Amino acid sequence: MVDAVTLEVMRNALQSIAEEMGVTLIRTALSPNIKDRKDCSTAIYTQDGRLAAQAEHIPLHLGLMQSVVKEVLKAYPVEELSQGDALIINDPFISGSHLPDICIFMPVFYKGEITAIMANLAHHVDVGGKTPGSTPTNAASIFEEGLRIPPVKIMKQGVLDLEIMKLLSHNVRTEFEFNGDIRAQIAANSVGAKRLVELMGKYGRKKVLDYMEEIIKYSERSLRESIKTLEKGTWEFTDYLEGDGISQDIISIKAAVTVGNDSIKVDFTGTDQQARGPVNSTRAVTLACVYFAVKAVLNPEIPSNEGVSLPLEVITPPGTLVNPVFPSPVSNANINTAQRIADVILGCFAQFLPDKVPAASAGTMGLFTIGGIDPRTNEFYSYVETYGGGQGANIRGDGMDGVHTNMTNTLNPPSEVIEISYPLQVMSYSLRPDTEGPGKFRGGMGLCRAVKVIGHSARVTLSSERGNIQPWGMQGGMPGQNSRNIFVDEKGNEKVKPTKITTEVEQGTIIYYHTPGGGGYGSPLEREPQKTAGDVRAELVSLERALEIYGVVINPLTFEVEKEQTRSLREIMSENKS
Amino acid sequence: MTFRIAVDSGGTFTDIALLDENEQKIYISKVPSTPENPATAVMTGVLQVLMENNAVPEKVSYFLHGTTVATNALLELKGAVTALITTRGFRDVLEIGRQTRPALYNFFQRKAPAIVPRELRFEVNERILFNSEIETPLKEEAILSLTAKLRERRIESAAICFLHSYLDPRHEKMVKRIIQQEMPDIFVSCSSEILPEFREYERTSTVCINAYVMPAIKKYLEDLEVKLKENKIRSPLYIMQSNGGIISSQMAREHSARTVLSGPAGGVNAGKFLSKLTGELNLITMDMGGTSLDVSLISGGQPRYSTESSIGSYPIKLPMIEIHTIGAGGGSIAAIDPGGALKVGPESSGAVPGPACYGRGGHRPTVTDANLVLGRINSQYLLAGQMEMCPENSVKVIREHIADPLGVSVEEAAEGIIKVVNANMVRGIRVVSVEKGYDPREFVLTAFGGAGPLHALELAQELAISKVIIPPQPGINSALGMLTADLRRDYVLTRIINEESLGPQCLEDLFGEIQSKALEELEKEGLRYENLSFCRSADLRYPRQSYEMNITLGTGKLENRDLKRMIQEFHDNHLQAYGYNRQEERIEVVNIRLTAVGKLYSLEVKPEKTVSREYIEAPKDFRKVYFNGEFIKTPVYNRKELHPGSRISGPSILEQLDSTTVITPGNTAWVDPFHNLIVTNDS
Repeated sequence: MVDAVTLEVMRNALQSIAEEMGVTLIRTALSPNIKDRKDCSTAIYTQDGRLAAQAEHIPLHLGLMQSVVKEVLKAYPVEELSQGDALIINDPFISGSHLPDICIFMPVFYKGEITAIMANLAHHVDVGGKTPGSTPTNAASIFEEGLRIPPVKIMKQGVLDLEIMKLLSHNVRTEFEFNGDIRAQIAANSVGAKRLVELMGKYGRKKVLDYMEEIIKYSERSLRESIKTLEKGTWEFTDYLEGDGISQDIISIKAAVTVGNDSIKVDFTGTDQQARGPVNSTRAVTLACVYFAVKAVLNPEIPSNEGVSLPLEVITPPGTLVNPVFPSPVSNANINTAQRIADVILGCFAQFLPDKVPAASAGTMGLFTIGGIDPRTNEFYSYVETYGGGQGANIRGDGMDGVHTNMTNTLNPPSEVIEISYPLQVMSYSLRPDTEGPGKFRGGMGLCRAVKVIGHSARVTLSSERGNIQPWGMQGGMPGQNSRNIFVDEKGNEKVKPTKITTEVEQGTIIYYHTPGGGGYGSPLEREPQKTAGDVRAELVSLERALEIYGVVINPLTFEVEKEQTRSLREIMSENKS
Repeated sequence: MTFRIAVDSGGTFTDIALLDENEQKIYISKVPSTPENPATAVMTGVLQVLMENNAVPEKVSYFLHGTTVATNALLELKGAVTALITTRGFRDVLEIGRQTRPALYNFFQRKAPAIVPRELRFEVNERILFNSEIETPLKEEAILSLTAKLRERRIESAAICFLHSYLDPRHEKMVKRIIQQEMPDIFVSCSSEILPEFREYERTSTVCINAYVMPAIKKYLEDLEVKLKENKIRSPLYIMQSNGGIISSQMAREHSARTVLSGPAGGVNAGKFLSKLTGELNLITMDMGGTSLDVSLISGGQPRYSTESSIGSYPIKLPMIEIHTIGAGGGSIAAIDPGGALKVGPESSGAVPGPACYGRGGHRPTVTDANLVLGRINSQYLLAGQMEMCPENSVKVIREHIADPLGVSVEEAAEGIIKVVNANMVRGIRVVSVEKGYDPREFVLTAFGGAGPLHALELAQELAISKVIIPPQPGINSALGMLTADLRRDYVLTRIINEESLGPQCLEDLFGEIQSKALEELEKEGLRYENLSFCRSADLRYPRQSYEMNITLGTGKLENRDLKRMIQEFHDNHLQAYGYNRQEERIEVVNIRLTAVGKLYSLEVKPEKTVSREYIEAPKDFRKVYFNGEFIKTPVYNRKELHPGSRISGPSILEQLDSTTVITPGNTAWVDPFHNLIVTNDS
């Protein structure tokens, strides 16, 4: 019999195992993406590949982790797996992610019988292809993006296949990191398997497996209960990407959210055809965005597992941007397209749940990669980082400044670590004043890091969005400011670059990478003048902007609000508006 | 005849332990805290315990204090008006932090505000590079124009943090000198003095916290010192640090951030002392109070230290005893969620209104209510009857919120609440044990805090721990632990050295550098200590990893074989902690660390004679207690009346002023010569 107490006890136990796997992976990995940015997830599955518990570090993986094992099991049935085997895979048309995300998974045996699967997915710093970091912004097919690994046994009955390892690591720029990271991934699964076997030793195999099912049902039930409280109907929203890295043409992503009795349908029909450049989002990435938006809006506390997907029907017409077909390039979808798909679904929800949805956030994960030969060591290096921006404001308050939003939440490497590890100098790292979307509650400010290339020429990849179209505001709030990429060469010549670019830069070049601000919520004329004065005092909002957009008159010497003048100015401004 | 006093001032109660040095006897007292000025409760309690035991203040030879003044200033954001002075281009480092948001799916959860607001973060032209080369020298004029601004903004305290200052502190020291000359009333903290370690956000955060809490600590300690003097206590004032060691109150005023875990560190010290006393080298300590559980691990008789702690969400990279806190306490609230699962905590009913049974308006079921319904807590006896209980409230709220919705009896529901809160605590204990590579089955669990002994045996069973120790006075264990603390100062220096360039001499030189700095500082402190020893260690990692492991080095002159041993130990520890290592790989040293430890006094507790182990005490009472689905008539003992050698089998309840111990069926407790309760599994 299922009881509420054992359910919670077992959920705690499984979650604790998944988290221990995550700790092992992060603390021993070598790729900055894993060790510093925690761009990885670890999880426990039922033996037929359904997700039961996951240690989450970024929401993007919620969808990926749900699809990957099921898909691999189609190609590599569970009967063909023995104790001590490990499978490796990174093919996006099977795993659903992009090539740098390598997934390792291992069956768990209890008393000679397969009982579960442990898997983890981690973003490697490089998997070959045309640019360092393996996310070229102008790849025309997946073959240019790097090494494709179909599901193969990298470990057979406890013995690592060094021949395959040699073959794979020979094709990546950072062989040392690759070898270390694969070992860390295997170690993480082994720790998880060991703990699960211990758990079964204590409670019995059947009880643990039964409760894995119950935990999935619990998430499903919780989500259905939340859906039942919603207004029924259909809401549509469209948002855009500014080019695919090859052409500058605008790409539309359209979704219709239909709320049923205890289920939700999300239909992407009407979205543009798949693009030539690498902004195509596999169905798994698209699903991740749907799961994220639904969970964040309806109930952030629901445990992330298979159950979250069951009340959701997602229609992604094949051959479109949200479900491309082989061999389309996909590497930049995780970075930009995922954020836009999340915006589109949140845009649907915003129409009937304006108190639960924030205005648009930065809308890009802001990828910044520099690679080349480090003149200090003569070895290859890849600096890879994704940058936060402004969070969208919501009904309760301002958006946060300079944070990762929606589909990601990776950590930044410290500037001191960048300078120690790479031939780069960080010139500044700061918030971008006047980039917020004004509103009663303002959006967050974007970020800027300025990085100088020292003593060598390097290959730079920038992949961002919202360079022309601004992150939208809500309920009268104004949009956030655009992103902006600027190169300044040694002679001081300044050049504005497109949002997506892969290019060679000379030594001494400083790259200013500016990320977008978040949208505002409510009219800026309703913002408490004191708050605007605070922003002015903090030099985040200029005096002119306070005056012209917020209608707040501030004494430039004392930073006090001139109350009377503010009141009359705001009266005039609201009349002009209406 | 002289006395030693230790005072732990906590949120609800201030605990005092008095040690009679000649008799080696300990007396205790507990008074309500006075948060507006904690010194008031400290003095009330101290004078009370002195009077009760006919001790005169003049005879107090040693006064040690664990304080929450720094913790509260930080958590309640009531610290000083603080400025940050940093490298041009980097004033937002403190605000951006690691650019993450606190909750993945919750749009409304915000980061805690930066403790130094943007308008008080100032940039100056200066730049030191990663290789310690000075690219842009700092000019005096730049600082002089800055001091004018600081004055204008009425700054009380200033933090200085420049990029790569751990390699070269000269720029920071120059700013400090000029500010101290120009504005002698201002407090100044330099990152190169507080934490000369790389990674600028964590270093900036640590030095800002130090600057932020410094004035509050100084004011508090001065006030307390005046009060002590007025009351004829002449002993110098010593302060408990988060690393489990003591510093002088003078040093605490400069290195204030070192006191943020002052109280809980006392508890871990008590665990360490218990370990020595009982010969149990591996202990897990659990301190469960009203709102939270603090868990810590002692391995080989020593607590584990961490340099990755944070208070609230503010990182402090100073070495602290590794204490993991989770939201599980007597006041944790139980509820059924829409998916039909029973959840307990982290929301707590707090001190007010408190659990429903306190009758102060609490109307949601808590862990304490569940313990009461199950007969584990005496409805009459809490705090020796000082507090009135309303058991009918507990029954009502558990029925309404849990039992009826689940369709079970009130007792089943209450037992469910206990099971769920226990599961949460088990997960907390796993974080400090299995996730760090330690098997809890090889440890003894020691429980204290008001609620710890109620849950300890069930937790032990869940974790397959076969032995539990409950100290004689679980409710004031932290104050007792402070009496056992040593003088302790930690030093760190970041120097990244790969295995090829690593030699004994190069490490000796670096250690020599910090050791002379340490000796100079300790000299200045003028403390009376014996057996000063230096513990040397290094943080190692495989090249390109981002996390390090601390490996201890011997005290003798370093030889090649010591380095070899250190490297092998790193490989071994990596294997133990993470299940694999890379023996073929070269390592690198990242930081070197030196800890100076001096014995101040040592606490001797004399064992008492035990009476026959077969002797079984007569219970003072019987009551019905619910175990595994049924009420069992259970003997209730007064813990005070148990003598060394007494043996009691479960089920039974042991009551005392500050706590209640539940011995579950299948376990037997024995009182050891030090009045510890040693509980073992019968099977």
